[in-house]
Amino acid sequence: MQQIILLALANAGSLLVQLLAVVLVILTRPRPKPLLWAFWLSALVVSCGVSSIVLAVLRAEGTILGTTSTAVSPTIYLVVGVIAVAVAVFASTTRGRELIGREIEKTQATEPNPEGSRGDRARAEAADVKARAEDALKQGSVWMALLVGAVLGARHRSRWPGSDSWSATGTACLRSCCSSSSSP
Amino acid sequence: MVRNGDGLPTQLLLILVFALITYLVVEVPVISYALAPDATTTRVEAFSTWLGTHKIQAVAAVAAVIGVVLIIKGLTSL
Repeated sequence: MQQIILLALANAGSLLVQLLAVVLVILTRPRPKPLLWAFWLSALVVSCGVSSIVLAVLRAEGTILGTTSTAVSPTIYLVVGVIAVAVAVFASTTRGRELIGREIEKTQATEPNPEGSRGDRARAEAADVKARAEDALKQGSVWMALLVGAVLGARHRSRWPGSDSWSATGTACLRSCCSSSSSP
Repeated sequence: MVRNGDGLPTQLLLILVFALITYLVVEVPVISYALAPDATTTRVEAFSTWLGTHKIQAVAAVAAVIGVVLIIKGLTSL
């Protein structure tokens, strides 16, 4: 059981960014409670359901073949991580906040012309897509929350045995879990 | 887990425990709403208002969390 808890915590860490982003978006909606329930239940049902199917296959066949590697180089994680922290440090200084605030005001002051240049047309289209996405979140939001939960639940499953996209900690835990002859 | 020879109920229970721990970030506000709905609603509304007036600080905090998670992920994958 301890190994499963460690494994789950490692998995929770790798999904933290996506989960945190979704929870933040949901909490800023007008009625967050039903959205949270919808997101949580669909994620839980989908991840448990798909994990059970994988378990059934593993019990019957002993292995799952045909997985593909989606591992990203650690250097990319480090570079993107350092850039994100640098952006955070810059944005938390008074000068950084002033500069970013000025840029945002400048962007909002100039309305994109749908009949204008290619750049203007792209900006107008982006604004249109953003407005439609916001409408979808406000109106059909419970369905949206269910869908997002299902997608994240299926993604969580991809970190179970049979997939190569394990973190180093997860792989170590899985190995110790599988090689142990006693119950976890 | 499969090779350990655990029974099916134990394995299904482990799958549920694994999923529950994975979604802890979502469960905290869900449980809070269930236990203290009024207090949670007040707190969430205050947080939402703060977020509306402090967008840059909020983005900076999210960027910091993402950055630290990615650096830890990068270091553990080395």
